[in-house]
Amino acid sequence: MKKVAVRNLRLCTKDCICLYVCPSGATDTEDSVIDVNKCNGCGICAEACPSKAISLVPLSYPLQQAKKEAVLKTNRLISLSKAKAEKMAHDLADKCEDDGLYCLLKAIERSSRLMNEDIMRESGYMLPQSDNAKKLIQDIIDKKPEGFDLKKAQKLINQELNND
Amino acid sequence: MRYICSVCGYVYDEEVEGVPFADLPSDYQCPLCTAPKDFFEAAEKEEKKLKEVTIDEDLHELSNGEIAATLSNLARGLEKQYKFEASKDMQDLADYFTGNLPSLEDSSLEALSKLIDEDLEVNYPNVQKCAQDNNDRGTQRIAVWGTKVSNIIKALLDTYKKAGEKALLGKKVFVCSVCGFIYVGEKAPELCPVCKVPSWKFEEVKRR
Repeated sequence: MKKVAVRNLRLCTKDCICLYVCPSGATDTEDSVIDVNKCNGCGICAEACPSKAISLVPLSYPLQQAKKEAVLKTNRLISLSKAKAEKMAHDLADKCEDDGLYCLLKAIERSSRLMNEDIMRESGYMLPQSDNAKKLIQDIIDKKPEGFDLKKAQKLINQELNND
Repeated sequence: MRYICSVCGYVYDEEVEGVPFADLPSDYQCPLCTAPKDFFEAAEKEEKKLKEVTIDEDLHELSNGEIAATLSNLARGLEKQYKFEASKDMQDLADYFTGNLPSLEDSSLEALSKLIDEDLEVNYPNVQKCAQDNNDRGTQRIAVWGTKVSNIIKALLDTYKKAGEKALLGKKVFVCSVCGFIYVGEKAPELCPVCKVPSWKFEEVKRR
């Protein structure tokens, strides 16, 4: 599996050992982001980094585990309900005059979205490069919803989500 | 006897504490996650019977709200893969659906509480059972987190209904960006009581 190095800036302590050990100069950038086009995936920088800020990520991802039909169906109980709760909290916050309640409702809106993202991730949408994810976006494109950025969606499918 | 917090799992052991749980004041709160006293359950409790639910057979297409959450989840996935531009584009697609949701017929604090109660009494227990039957560990974990987070939302809504704005006076509201746990207090907890990530993973909800 071909890999490239990435740096977690939260951990990087700028010891810059990666600069000394990288055989291709991929870590020598102005913005601290390792150049994926130069990186050959050897992993020497990750081993040498004293603050463990560098790790290797695969260029393509393995297939997702298949999900059981029964699980997919039952998970919809949560995704439908959390989508409703998110929208309701949003609308109530918009209308609400009290500052405390506003914050609480905004928190519930955000929290409902996070719980919904989790359940959708476990419903066959874990990997952005999966066929499921691409099909979902393609189906939206085919319906041409008014005001939807078709070009951006098509670009995502064509360039970012291919997994070969 | 031991009592366990239904939100974060904190254990109140009467033998260790020296005070019977029943003698604690009614405004006792979980020291970790601030859940109120009545959210504690006796450690040796009876199994609750599952309220079965029938799922609509015609349920095929995702609602726009579900699509929004699916796309923003994919945006998070791309971010984790260090694909920041693609992640932003995906988030833009998600935001289109978030901004175009039809309003609900009945929006009120009561209706919101009812949704949360249904999740806790019917939806999550059914999801948990189905995931166990099918040996789906990922879904089981999400159901555990979701139940705990829904529990704290229920507690916060209950408290607000009783005490009103006083419940939040001079306090800040934080959301764990990983599991959605909500914390009301002066600063974010050191560890999320539900998913155990450090305090910097919490987002403060901005006042208007």
